[in-house]
Amino acid sequence: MVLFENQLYIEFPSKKDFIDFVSNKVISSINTIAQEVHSQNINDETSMPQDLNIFGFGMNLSIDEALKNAIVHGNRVDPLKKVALSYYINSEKLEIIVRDEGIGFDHKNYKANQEIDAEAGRGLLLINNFMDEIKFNESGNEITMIKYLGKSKTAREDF
Amino acid sequence: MEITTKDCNDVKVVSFKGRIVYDTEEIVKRETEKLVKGTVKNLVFNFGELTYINSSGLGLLINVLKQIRAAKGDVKLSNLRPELMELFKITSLNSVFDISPDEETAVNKFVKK
Repeated sequence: MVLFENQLYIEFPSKKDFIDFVSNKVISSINTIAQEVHSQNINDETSMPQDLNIFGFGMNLSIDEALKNAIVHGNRVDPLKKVALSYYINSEKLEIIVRDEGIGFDHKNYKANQEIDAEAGRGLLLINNFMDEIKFNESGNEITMIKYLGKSKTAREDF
Repeated sequence: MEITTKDCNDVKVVSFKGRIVYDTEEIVKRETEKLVKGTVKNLVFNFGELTYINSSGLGLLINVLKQIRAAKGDVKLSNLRPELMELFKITSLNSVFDISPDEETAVNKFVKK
């Protein structure tokens, strides 16, 4: 079995133009390493089965929404404030951390209830659905999103 | 992002191809504004080749839906990929939008009225 670890750090100004660029970079970087390791392990019975599909749509969406929240709600689109994304991946899990320089999101008192046809406010709901775990730091300006590799711990089907 | 339209009697079918992301949102806004201002208010969106949409894109669709319904029309969605269908279920938007498995079914819903 091939064990691995990889990490990446990207820091950029709070401009919406960067969201697509950064999410694409991160997704392709994660995919490259995951696929390489997967191909090494595929005929190895000692390896745990890894589901590469977890790096698709839902992961892209979670990164996209976290960056949008950091830029728009955290830094209020102030280009002088920076957003930092880092990820860490090993054979067991993928951890993505997004930090902004805003005053912090009040995650303790946050309630997701809203009008069903509201035009905004679904980002966190989506992240929650596609990741296995999410947590905030105390001040609320940093979100950690965790996805376990191998068989997903969530009940729903991944894609 | 490509958006094409065709008329089927009193229904306008709008096909989306590509990804609705921040870079392509303006195109979608521009094209859907034309639809809102147009005379045909019975719209079918074919999402067969729409591979990605985020919460911001969903907000945009809801905005269009509200304006069209205010003008006594409707936006019916059709041909959603499984991951997009999942997204509509997670957000309960499958109860806001009328969603059909294919374009023809969606068009016929207007004809039957």
